[in-house]
This record gives sequence, C-alpha cells and structure tokens, in this order.
Amino acid sequence: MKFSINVNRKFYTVDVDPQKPLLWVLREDIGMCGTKYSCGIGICGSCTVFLDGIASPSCTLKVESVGRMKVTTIEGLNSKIGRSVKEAWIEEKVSQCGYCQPGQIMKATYLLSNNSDPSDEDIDETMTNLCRCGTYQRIRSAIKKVATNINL
Amino acid sequence: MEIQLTRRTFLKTTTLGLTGLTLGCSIGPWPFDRKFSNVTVWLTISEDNWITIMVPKAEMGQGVSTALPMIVAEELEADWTKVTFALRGELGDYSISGAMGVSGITGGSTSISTMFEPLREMGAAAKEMLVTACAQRWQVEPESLTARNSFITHSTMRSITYGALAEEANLLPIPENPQLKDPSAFSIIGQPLDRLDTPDHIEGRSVFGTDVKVPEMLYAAVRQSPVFGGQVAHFDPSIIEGTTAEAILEIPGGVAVVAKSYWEAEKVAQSLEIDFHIPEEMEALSSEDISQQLTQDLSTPGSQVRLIGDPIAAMESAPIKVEALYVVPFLAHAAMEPMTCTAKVTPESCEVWVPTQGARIVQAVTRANTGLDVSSIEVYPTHLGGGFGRKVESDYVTQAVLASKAVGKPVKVIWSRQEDMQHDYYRPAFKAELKGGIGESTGIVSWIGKSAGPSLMAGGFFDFMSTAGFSPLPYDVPNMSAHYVESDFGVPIGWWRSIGSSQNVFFVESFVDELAGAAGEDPLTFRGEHLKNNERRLAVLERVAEMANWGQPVVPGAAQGVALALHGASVLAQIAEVSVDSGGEIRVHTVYCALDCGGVVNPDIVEAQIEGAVIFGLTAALYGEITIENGRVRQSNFHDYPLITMIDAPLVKTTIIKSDARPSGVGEIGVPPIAPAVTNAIFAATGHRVRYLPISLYEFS
Ligand code: FES
Ligand code: FES
Repeated sequence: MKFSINVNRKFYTVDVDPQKPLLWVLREDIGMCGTKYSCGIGICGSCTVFLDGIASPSCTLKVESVGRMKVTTIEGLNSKIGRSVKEAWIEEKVSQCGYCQPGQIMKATYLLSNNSDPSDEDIDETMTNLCRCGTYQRIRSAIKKVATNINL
Repeated sequence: MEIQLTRRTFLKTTTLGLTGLTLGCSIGPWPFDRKFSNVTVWLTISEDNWITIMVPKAEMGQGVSTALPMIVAEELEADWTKVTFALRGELGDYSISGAMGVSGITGGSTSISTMFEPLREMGAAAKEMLVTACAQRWQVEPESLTARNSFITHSTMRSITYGALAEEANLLPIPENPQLKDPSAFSIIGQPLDRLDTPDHIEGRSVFGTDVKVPEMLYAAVRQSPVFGGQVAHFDPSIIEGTTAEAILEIPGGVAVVAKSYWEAEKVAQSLEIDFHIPEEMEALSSEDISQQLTQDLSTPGSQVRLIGDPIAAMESAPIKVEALYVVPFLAHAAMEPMTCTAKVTPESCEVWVPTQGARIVQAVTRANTGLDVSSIEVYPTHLGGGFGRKVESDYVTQAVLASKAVGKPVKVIWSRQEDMQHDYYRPAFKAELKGGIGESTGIVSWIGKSAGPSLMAGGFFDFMSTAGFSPLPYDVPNMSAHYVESDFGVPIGWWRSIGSSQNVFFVESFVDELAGAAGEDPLTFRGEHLKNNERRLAVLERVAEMANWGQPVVPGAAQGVALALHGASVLAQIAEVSVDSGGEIRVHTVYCALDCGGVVNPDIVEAQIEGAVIFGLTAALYGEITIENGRVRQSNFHDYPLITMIDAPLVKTTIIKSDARPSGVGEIGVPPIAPAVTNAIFAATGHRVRYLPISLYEFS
C-alpha cells in the first residue's frame, strides 16, 4: 500500500505493508539509517524519533498509523536545541560505540524542549534509553550543560 | 607484551600515500569507494593536507579510531585538526604481529599496548621521509628543516605542506631508524582530545553493520534451533510459498529467510514452523542441573593451576579458618547492535561488510564457505555497535555468506534481539570454593581455591583465560594453591569483556573481604598489609582510599566496599559507596576508581572506558543472569535481561596515576572489581554476604 509520510519536512511516498514499522520504513524504504534497531519492542529507545515533536519509539509504530504526523529523525534534528544538544555531546565527549546515541540525542532534545532546566529526577525519568557502553553520566552532564546555556 | 613487529614488516607496510585523494570518503560512503585502499597502506596525505590514518583494529566504542591515529600523528608532527581515520581489517598489509596480533583479534585490551611503539615508528618514519623529500626539493640540509603541524619550515621561514610533498616522499626508502620524540615533548599523546568518530555518530551518519547498503541487496532473518545443538530436520523449502519471502535456506543449526526487506524476512521467519532435531540430553538441560553439576565438579580434584608453599599444612595449623562458596551465572553480551553481516558472493569473489573484532576470522570462514582464495575475499569492517567479545565469533558471518551464495545477490543478515539473546556465546557459569587460614597477627597464612566451570580453552591444556584473576592472586600469600575443574554443558560460551576475571575477581575479592572480617580488620588495611611487596598496587589502593575518603561515606547511612583488579600490567582499585534502604532497595551512589595503566594516550578515553566498564559490570552484578530451561535460554529481550538505565547509574570518578611506564590496557579492567566492591559494601551496610550473583536473587530487609 502507498503511504506519503512527512520526514524531516519532506514528503516521501513509500509502497509497503501497512503493518511495517516506521523504523524499517525509514531505514529501508527512505534510506535513513541514523535511527537504530536494537530491541524492537519499545524498551531501548535506539529507534527514537519525534512524532509531531514528541519523542517516540519508531519500532512499534506501524506506518499506517503515522498519517499526517511530522516525523523528525536524527538526520533532520536541526532545531536550536537539537544543535545545542549535539554540540554538548561533543563537548562532554559522550559517545562510545555511538549506536544508541542518535536515540539518546532525540530523547535529550525532547526533554530540553519541554523543560529548559531539568532536575536530576527529570533526567532520570525521561532518559530511559539503554546504553550498553554505559555513557549515562556524560549524557547527564551534557543535558545539564545545554540547560545552563539555554538559561544564560 | 613484547612488540614483535619486525623491521621488515614495518618496511613493507609503511608507505605514504599518493596525493590527490579525497579524504571525506573515508567516513561517509566508504565501504564502496575502494580506490583508497589500492594506492596506500597505513596513511595517506592529500593535496589539501588532510591526513588519513588507517585503523586496523575494531572500533567498538573503546576509542581506537582516535587513540591509534593520535600515536601516529604525534611522531608525524601532524596538524591534529586535519587528521581523520579509516577502518581496516587486521589482514594482509594491516596484519600486526605480537600479542593479540597473532590472531588478528581486537580484544584483551591490547590495541594500544601492542601498537604503541610500531605506530610511533611509523609516524616518525613518515615524517623523516617528508623532511627528506623537502630537503631534496629545496636543495637544503634536512637539519635546517622543522616539521610541525603538517608543515615543513626552513630556517629562512619558507614553508610547505606535507600534502605538497607526499608524492615525492612516497618514492623514498623508508628510514631504518626513525628518530622518536622524547615523551616530554609530546603534544598530542596524553591530551584528552575529542574523539574523531563522534561527529558522525551524533548526526546518525556512521556506518554500523546494520547500516551497510550494497546495490541489489536483500535481507535475511534467521531462526536458529531454540535448543543448543539442535539441527533442522525435514527441511522443505516450499514452506515459504504464499509469503513475501524470496528464499529460504538451511544454515548451521537453523534457517535463513531472505526477502526484500528485513522486516518482511523477520515476519515470515516468525510465522514458520520449523522442525528441529534436538539432542535429548540438551532438551533435558536446566540451570538447576548445571548448578548441581558444578557442585559435583567442585568435589573432584581438578587440575592444579598454582602451588606456593604448603597450603594444606599451613591451613591445619591456622588459628582462624574460613570457607565460602561463590556462584555466578551465564551472562549475555547484549550489545545494542545485534549480530549482523552483509556478504556479496559471486563465483569469483566475495565481499563482506561486517562489524567484527576479527577480520582474519571473517576471511577464514568466508573462505571455508565459498572455497575462494583469500586473495578474492575482501573484508570491510564497519563500526561496531558494541562488541564486548561477542563479535570475535563468526556464526553470523557464515550465515550471510551462505545466504548470498544461495541467492546470488548481496544479503544482509540481521538477528532479532531474541535471536541475539538466545544464541550468544555466554560468559560461563561458575562456582568457586575458597578456604583461607589466618594466623595471629600474620594475616593470610593459607589460601586454597578451586573453581569449576566451562573452559574457554577446552582441550586439556592450561586454561589461563578461565583462571585469570583466580590465580595468581594480587596479594602476597605465603602458602596457596589453586585448582580448576573443567565442566561442560553444551551451552556455547565465549569471551565476555574481561573474560575469566569477570567471575574470578568477584570470588577472590569477596573472599579477601571475608578473611579481613574474620581477622577483625578493616578490609582496606587488610588488603594493604598483603601488598607490602608491591608498590604499584599499594599506591593504587591508597589513592582510591583517599579519593573515597575511606571510612566516611558521603551519603548518610551508606557503606563502602573496596576491590582490586589486575589486567596485563594495569592495576585498578575501586570503592563503591552503596545504600541499602529499609525496603531492601540497593543504590550504588558513587564508584571511585584509581588506575595505574602506565602511560596514557588519551586520558579522556581511558576514563570513559572505566566509566563504561563499571556500568557493564554493575549491570551484571545487579541483575545479569541467563538461565536455561529445557536446553533453551529463558531470556529473550531487555525486559527479562535488563540493563542499567540512567536512574540506577552511579557516578564514576576516575583518577589515573601518572606513570612513565609504557601503556597497558584499560578496556576490560573496570568490569571485574565492581561486583565485589558493591557486594562488600552491601556486607558493610547490612551484614549480609552476597555469595551468589546477581544481587537481585537476594532480599535485604
Ligand atoms: S528498537 Fe525501538 S525501542 Fe528498542
Ligand atoms: S554508546 Fe554504545 S550503546 Fe551507547
């Protein structure tokens, strides 16, 4: 079936099974591989994208349910906060293997877009994405760094 | 850890690149741009003065793609802001001899320690060639030239880029004895420089194994026998009729379903009823049997790993005797990137794009499965979304090669998380029995240890991997013996970050704590008393005590636990500060780490490795457990094999002790001490001694 979906402010028409998860449509049909597969059941957050600005796993969302929602992926994350988050990721030297990091960055951008001064508890509550390399403390400091910059 | 890279090998493998190469291609669509590797070997310098340094070690997060280029760039006097890297398999021109180099494996925390001197020499040789080329071009004495920041400057201030000289330099003989810098003049080595791979990671541009794209590529999902050792029975390829799958083929222990999309392939694979022939004894296997077998194995003599003095006599006369039994489960690697490999097999050649820790192993299995000569096999390593030892294996490579061969098109195999969790090569389950004797004010007079578990080096010869950390002890003990009993359950086992030390340091450091308690001494002082002949270990222990303010936890009501680990020439001590609340909830607040790992190439990457290793080890200590029922792994995903998340991640504080010694490894050493540091703290907090892992098996209330 044909679907026209808005990804990073551009429309893409894909001809796929309506049940196919957005994750795989992005990776296979649109060719954007920044959004990662790891658990496939909505736990790990590696596949996090924005749906109308809300951070959501893309592995459990059927393409037929995307409808007119605007999808933002790591490749299209260029908002002011998104850029600051990416810069903070460099400054705080967060990344190790890097596989989980697109998802982490999406989640952190979502958090900071809705809460410009997150407490440790806010960070704990929102930043539930898994990182097997164990970069958590640097993710925390990168988020705090962005918050400090926003509030200057 | 001697360097075996001979002058000859070095001469053959160091060449400067021809000019005019576009360097951006090393990171973007690199797997498909092969002109690069045909003209150059270890480094290339472009006309616009960018330097690309080849990295023949797997980049799995540990930072080799930054640290190895830093070593070359230092001696080359390169402008670090214009240095990039390209991943290469440790094969052919990129073979490295010495230590792990023999096998071509990235593992054992050896990349820096085996490559430090060779890469320095390479950078120095390349610099000397550039200087000579410049001297010849300008008809001046080489001594009147200075190389710095990828420029060569004459005493008259006339200057030229490396890029402009690369072609001429490339024609020169490689110097026999390049002059190395005095370490006091290092300006790149020792600096906490940003990683070269981060900019691509954060934009989603890095190519991991799952991200490889090859024209006409198909995808495969696999279904492997749910029971270890099972084989496909009565295989009927027509079972995919009426589905979207394009092909189905038998692979060792399972089937691969090939389709135009991974998701389609996976959907079909899940719907298929595949008949497996399952060995009876495996069908009956459970964790309970394994536990019983380990207990039984512990009652057999096993083989002697070490004997010092007369531990039996010393034990008999010891006034205080202590005995304890410790148990650890199987563990999965659970890298965030599941197993994946892309292969393109034609009758004449094979190309493999793969996140691997062993390109040479990939080459060997490809050869075995295609019959092709190695000269027709190309292995392109991608970034690894975590490795931890799992990606040394080649089961997933075989599958991709067989699938591509069967369908005549490139095929990318991706495992579902469930396949990944249930078809790992697990950290083996172990039990250990320890006996100790303490004298009146003489400390430990006798230590008798025996461990039982599957062998990583099965076949009867000395298994130094499974016994690493169990023997020798890091402490001075006048009488000691260690025995090892090899068990076998048919569960696949493998290298898991820190290998034998991952369980053995838990056994040893828990037991030392128990002995300290029996002697009525402070656990840290007690350890120090048994390190009198080892200044480095003692210094590390004293430093961590200072960092943590030993004896005075920051958090009210919290307790501290200490543990020490060795890996190669590296020494690490950790102190964990832990609370156990009235409901029995455990909270690890802070982990202090003092590390002596010799000289350091990039201190920030070293700290990151320790931080990551603490989280990796703590995940295992708190909840890590793979259990077996009817020959099957019960766990299937992160809901039943949970990993630590932000909320439970402690703060890790690391101090690196300054040292002039040559660098030793850091990738694994942070894992082993965290379990005993935490369980020792739990004992201090509650009086309960954790002897079985994971800690979640206990209730503290
Ligand atoms: S892959 Fe979507 S949450 Fe894990
Ligand atoms: S950086 Fe490797 S999984 Fe997070």
